[in-house]
Amino acid sequence: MRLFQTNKIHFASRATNSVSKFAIAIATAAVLVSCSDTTAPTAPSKTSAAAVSPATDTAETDGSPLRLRLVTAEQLHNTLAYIFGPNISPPVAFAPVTRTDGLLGVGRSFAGVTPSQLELYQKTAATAALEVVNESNRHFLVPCTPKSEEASDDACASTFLASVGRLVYRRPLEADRLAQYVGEARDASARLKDFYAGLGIALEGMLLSPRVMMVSERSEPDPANPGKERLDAYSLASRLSFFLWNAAPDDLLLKAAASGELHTQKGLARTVDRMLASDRIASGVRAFFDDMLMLEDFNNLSKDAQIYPQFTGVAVVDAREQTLRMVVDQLVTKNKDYRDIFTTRETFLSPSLAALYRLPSTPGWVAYEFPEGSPRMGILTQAAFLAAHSHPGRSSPTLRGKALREILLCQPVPRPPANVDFSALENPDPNIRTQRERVSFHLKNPVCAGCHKVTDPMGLALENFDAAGQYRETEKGAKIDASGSMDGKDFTDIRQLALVLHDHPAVTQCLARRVYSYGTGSPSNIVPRTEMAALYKQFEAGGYRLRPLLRTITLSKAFSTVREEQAPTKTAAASVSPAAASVQ
Amino acid sequence: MTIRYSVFGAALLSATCLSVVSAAKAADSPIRNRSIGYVMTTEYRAIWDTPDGKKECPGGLNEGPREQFKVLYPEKPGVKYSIVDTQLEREGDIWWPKKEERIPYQYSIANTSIGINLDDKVGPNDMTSPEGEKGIDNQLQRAWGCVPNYRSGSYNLGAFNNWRKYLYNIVLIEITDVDSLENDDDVTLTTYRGLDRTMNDATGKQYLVGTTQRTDERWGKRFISKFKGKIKNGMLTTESADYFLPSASGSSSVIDVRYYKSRWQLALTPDHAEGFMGGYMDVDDWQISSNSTRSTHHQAYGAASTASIYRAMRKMADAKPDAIDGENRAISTALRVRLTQAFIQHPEKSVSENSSAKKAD
Repeated sequence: MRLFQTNKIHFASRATNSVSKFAIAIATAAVLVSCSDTTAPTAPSKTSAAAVSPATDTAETDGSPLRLRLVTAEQLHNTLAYIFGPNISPPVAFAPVTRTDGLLGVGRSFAGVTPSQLELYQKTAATAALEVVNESNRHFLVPCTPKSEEASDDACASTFLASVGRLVYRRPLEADRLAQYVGEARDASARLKDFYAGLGIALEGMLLSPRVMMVSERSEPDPANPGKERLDAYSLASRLSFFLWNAAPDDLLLKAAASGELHTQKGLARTVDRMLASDRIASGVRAFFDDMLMLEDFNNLSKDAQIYPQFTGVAVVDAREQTLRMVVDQLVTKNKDYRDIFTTRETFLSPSLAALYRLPSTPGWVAYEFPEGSPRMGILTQAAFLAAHSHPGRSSPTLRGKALREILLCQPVPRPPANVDFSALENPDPNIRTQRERVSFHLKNPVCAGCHKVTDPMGLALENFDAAGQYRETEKGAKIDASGSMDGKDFTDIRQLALVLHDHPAVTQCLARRVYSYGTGSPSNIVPRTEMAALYKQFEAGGYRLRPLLRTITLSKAFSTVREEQAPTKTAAASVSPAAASVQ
Repeated sequence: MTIRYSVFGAALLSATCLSVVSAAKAADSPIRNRSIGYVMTTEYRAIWDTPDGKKECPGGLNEGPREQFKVLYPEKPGVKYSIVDTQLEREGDIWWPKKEERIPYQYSIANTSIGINLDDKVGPNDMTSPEGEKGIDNQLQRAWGCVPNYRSGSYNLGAFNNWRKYLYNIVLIEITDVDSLENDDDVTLTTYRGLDRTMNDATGKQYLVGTTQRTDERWGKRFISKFKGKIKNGMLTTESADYFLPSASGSSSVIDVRYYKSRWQLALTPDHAEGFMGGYMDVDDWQISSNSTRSTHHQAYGAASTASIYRAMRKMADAKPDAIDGENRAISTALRVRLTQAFIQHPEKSVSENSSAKKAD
């Protein structure tokens, strides 16, 4: 009991110190990030903290900017699972970030950290550390045995902390930093008279470090391009790993970074090929599509239960999972053309989702293929897309068309004017039975028509599916007309729209842009158009397969070299130094 | 030439559209491969009553085991009872009921009840429904009609209904050879025990339509019964067959109850089936089931004295005469049931074989 109380006090004290240090570092970095939009051109900085400002569309330089990115909950989870095994799985729920250039992955480069977020980090770190050193796990997660379990043991603590530190810091720990952690373990073990409790406290501090919770990229002079910078080997390893695996680098990747292999063309290709061949690529692809398809909306998605009783809480979770399983199956497992996700009849079903689709199923997830001629084909006809882009009580051709344009074609649709008049749209006249009749008002009003003519005709093709994603042929007794046109191509139903999308050049270009942005953490509009055009061509040459696209991007100069860009103003630069120092 | 191609194109387009609509309709309909399944989600005993009970129970309602105990073994000055003469005597009566009832029992005397005509006849003991339908076989109405446990508002009615949620008690019906839920003069209803728990819908108050239920065809063979039937104006009425109703109370004892010459009468919709499952219930099965699954404590909640009720049931029993003593051992009754559409998954078939995917009409 006494030991427990001491432990708690020490944890609290330790956590307070860590949080304070972390808070200072993060706050300064956040100031820097928020100031970076107004920066003036100066020389490139050598720290990510000093190089986070977006540049303009007209820049002609190669490379991508250094980034300081928050680690996501999923990335931390995957990293801990790799290091300690899947049993070490503390509940991780971090605050959402702002979507930038269509991606949360880019938004994480522009995010701040709130005090409550720090608390979550601390709780996560404490829980993970306690799990690692508890009696059930310590004997196989700690690779040495202390001389006494009731006293400190520097040698054993150092062995463990150096090994784990390298993996969580994503680079070897500096000797003085390692000594600091060993010292903390020593002090705590002595006070608590418990070697493992002390080791847990040192591990908690390590996990709570800004260098763990944030991915801070560093650059170094590029010998192949005098006067230019490139990512240092460990930063490149992290960028590769978070991009392709959605986790911190593994042991082999860090070894490749240490040996200099990553800075040779052959060595980098060998590493990328190994990563693309690994099963862990599925995690990376899932994370990317979860981000690109805005599936985080499912964390808050709900429908009117009286209208859509089939859309249960389990179905909400499973709808998201269904889309991700289908994407990974098509693009990773079966290595299919990206465009096939718009037309495939193959999917996966869970019991609750099967009930929503009115299909038989078996317990667990099972592969399922819709029959030929079924209106269900492709990602657009899955509950995830249909339900996410609808109102709680009715479908929305406008929201669906807008999502289609913005998410899948990278074509931003302007927001409605502030003084928009919804009265015509919300006319309670019972004679207006279908959504097609209702949204026809959009096209009659010239103010509305400008935007709605690019969204509604596409969204109307999905009207055979209600707001929960259930198939229907009529709406309030009126037969649904799902015909329309898109960019000059006419269609009569969702099946034909799927084929139009399959062959639409913007679909594949959009994916290439999004993947590039996601990998580098930078908006794609900073990349010269010629470079992006070359990427599109290579994607086409690779048969629109995802792995070749990932390979092209990760082996490109743009991925590993650092772009010269606008640096912070003097004021911002002044606040950079301590932050950069803290983060490192 | 141009016209020909146009006509051909239009025909092709129409064919494509028809194909899409056909597939969509097949996918949307719960009738797959000429069969539709349901899982039982609600079960109440078919007992008719009036709010004050005066019409059917002019002598009042029956009292429960605790009240009966006080009557049988009253506390009197100077009188000392032994456990053998009281509690054990009573326990013996519960499990091996004596023939004679020592406490006057109140039978329901009204000739009104709900249920179904089990023998297609209108006999002198048959009931008439509140709507005027004659020939309803429900002798259990007479035995149970004045027991608070089985009357409207009873605490235990809800408890019995909840039994259907227990995994052992999942009752499935599959109607095969069905072409229409409106009219079909030759269908087959088959009962199964299900293996999957029922799921609630998003409201949390109703059951989810369209779940998949696996049949227990290994250990649950005794629950499989076949009933020939007809659907007329959306109402399915089956012929008779013997049926075993899985009956477990939570995690306690499993005592299944036999229904002889049972039949179903259900109003069918694509989402639900609602009506009656009636038959001649085996009185001894009921007694063992009731005593095994509900203690005297639980029976006391609804003033349900099993020993007295058993004697009343034997007295009113109207089927299955015993080979030795000639006394009937089964009593006509019915359950008011509601079922929710579910896809029936047989063990020998794969998911795709059970679905419309490969065999959609």
